[in-house]
Amino acid sequence: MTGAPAADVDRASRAESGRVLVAMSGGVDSSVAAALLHRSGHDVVGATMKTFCYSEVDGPSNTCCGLEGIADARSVASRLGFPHMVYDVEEDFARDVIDNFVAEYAEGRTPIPCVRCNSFTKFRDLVHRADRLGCDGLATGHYARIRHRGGTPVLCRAEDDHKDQTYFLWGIPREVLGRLHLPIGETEKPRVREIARELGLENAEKPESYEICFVPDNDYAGVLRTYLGEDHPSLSSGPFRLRDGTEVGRHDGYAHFTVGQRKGLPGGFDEPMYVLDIEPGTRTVTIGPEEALDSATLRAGDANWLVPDPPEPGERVGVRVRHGAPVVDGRVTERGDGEFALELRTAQRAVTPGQSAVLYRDDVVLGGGVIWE
Amino acid sequence: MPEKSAWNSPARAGYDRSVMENIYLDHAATAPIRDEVWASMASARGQADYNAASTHAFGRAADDHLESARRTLSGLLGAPRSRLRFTGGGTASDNLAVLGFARAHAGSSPRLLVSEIEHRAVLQAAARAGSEGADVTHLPVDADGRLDLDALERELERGDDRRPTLVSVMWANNEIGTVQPVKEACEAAHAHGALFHTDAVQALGKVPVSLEDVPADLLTATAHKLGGPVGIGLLVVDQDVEIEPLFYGGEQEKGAWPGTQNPVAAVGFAEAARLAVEERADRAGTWSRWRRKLEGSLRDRLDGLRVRGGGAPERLPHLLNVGVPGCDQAELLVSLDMEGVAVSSGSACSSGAVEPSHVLEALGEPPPDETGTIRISFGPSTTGEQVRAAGDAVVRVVRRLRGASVAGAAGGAALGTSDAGDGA
Repeated sequence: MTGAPAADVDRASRAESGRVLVAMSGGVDSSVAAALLHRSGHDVVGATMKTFCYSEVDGPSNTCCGLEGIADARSVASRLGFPHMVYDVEEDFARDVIDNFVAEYAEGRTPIPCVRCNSFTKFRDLVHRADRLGCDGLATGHYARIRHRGGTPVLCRAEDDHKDQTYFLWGIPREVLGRLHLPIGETEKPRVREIARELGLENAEKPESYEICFVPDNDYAGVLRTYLGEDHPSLSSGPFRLRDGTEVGRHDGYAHFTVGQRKGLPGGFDEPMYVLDIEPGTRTVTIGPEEALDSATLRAGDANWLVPDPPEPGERVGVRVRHGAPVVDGRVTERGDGEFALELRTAQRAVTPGQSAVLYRDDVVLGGGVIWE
Repeated sequence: MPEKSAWNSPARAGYDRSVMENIYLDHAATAPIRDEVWASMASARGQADYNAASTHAFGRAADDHLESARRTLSGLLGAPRSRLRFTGGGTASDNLAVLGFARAHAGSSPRLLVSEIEHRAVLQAAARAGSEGADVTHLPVDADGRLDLDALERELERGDDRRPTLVSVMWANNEIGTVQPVKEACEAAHAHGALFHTDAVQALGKVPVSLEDVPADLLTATAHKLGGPVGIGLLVVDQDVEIEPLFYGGEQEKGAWPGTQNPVAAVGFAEAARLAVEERADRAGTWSRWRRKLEGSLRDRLDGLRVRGGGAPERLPHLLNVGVPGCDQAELLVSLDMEGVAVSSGSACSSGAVEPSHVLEALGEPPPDETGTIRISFGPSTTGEQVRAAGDAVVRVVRRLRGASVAGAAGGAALGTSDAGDGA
């Protein structure tokens, strides 16, 4: 019982500031988020999700949620002196995220597993854990902000549009917003860097977690082969066709393609060609020139709304159709049960089935859906 | 040392709970170094901190400390001093015993009979020996984790081909505290010409451990479960027992554990063991009384509580392992951590994630996501007040995790009135 480090902030005052469960991947952003909350006097508990069986992945796991991430998150918790737990969501993650990922590719679409994870696994699970652990708050290391508009908590874009991660967050349960802390989105970048350095994370050289955590080396075709089998139609030979139906070559599986892709297409055309459409039934990958990619309308399903007053038909909204793309002007043309349709003021390139359409009112995230067409 | 920064200077270390508020009940993982042990190592400063193999005066002084520690330990264990080999710890000694035996007899298809609830150090060393040609058999235990002696007898009878055989049965189990019938197991092994190894890491200082009582051929012990330093253990190797070292490069410890010896740690080990053995009878009485009360109080207040090893004829006095249905393992531990109560699940995983314990699986216990496990273990610094407070914290946390009202859990008197639980 001797030799424990001296207390800095006493326990009672931390308890008053509120107990917060912080989802920690082991990466810089969520580590700094935890540090910020801890420093501001919250009673912090770190939690790292184990999403799949790492022993099935060869070599050192360099993705955010890998085994190394667990150790890194733990060491940050040890350094700052708050409890940390690892919990296993393998089963839920496999069902809600990986199975969907595989099924979507098999259907010729291009899914975003991080959206699925946030929508179905991570936040829901965090809420339940937080309740059981007596945590009022939850936190993640996302670049986004929580604001109160007329007493209602809303999710807002990060100041820095390049860093904004709201594109991945439209599907989270709306009830979460009232207790969600996003300290990274509230902190200036130099400050985040400074804290990372103080925590000894500066030299960690952690890759940004854009790589999908269960897809080592970005080899998603490898994952599909594992789940679907080598001879699944999506991984079997099929035709490249022009819009008029002319066959212009063969590919080795439509799962290797996504709408808007240029790489791996037959050459010999006057202009660069792009994937325009994927038709799983005939394994056809339709290609065409860049302008044919443009589309000024879209329909989306699996909609989720993060505001009490979702946009009505006719309302002008900001729209983002892929991560990193600018928010463009659009108008809601229909809104039904879990779906909506949009008209974009200027046609957007490669509106891709499976990706998300996220709607904004100024910087407030209204919600979003998965693009059907 | 980490670089100095605002985040890790002592004032900013961030450990919120003062020493007084924290309750450490994980002595079976590591018992913090006792004041007397620190003092013994400090008093050896300038003498023990040299190379004991050096022939000059400094080396001789270090060697004297090393050998004097060996003498103390040999007296406590009832084994001649010449048979004690210092190693890097319990895992090291278990590996040296099991793998060392198998490799020494590699040409004669050795047999290893190990209980299924041995420490992983024995199980994985045996598995490795198995991959190198040894014949490994796991011996079953009953629902309280006690070795099935009939099964051992049957296996020993099966081995009539005079193959070199090692039986390895721990003196007491680290997760559930069940004390094994090591005397009977050792006799059975010897009756069939087999050798007997026992891992006494958790038993030493908690129950009487003597090689005069149980003439094991190999015995593992370690310092840090006794309030000694981490990083030193020992293996008693009876004469005529052939053990192949695990690595090479020196004649230290009679070649069994080559490398520069650690006299400072040996001094601490000897002092910790001396204190633990001397105080054992007194402490064991207090600890088992606390354990019975705690067990009874938890049983009374928590539905469906599973006391592991509760029916065993002999249990470690300082250790209680309970299963709590309806609680997730990781949530249970982190919740208690937040309450300032340090306990464990009894088994760890490299990633920090919860993995089913092989011991609990052998007992037929439900998986850790359905039934969380709490292993509570007392040490010399533990007080009755701490045990009571920890019991209340467990009840509070379990009720919250189970979604029940927290209000009813606050009472602190339950332990004091639960003597009825003693007979459970």
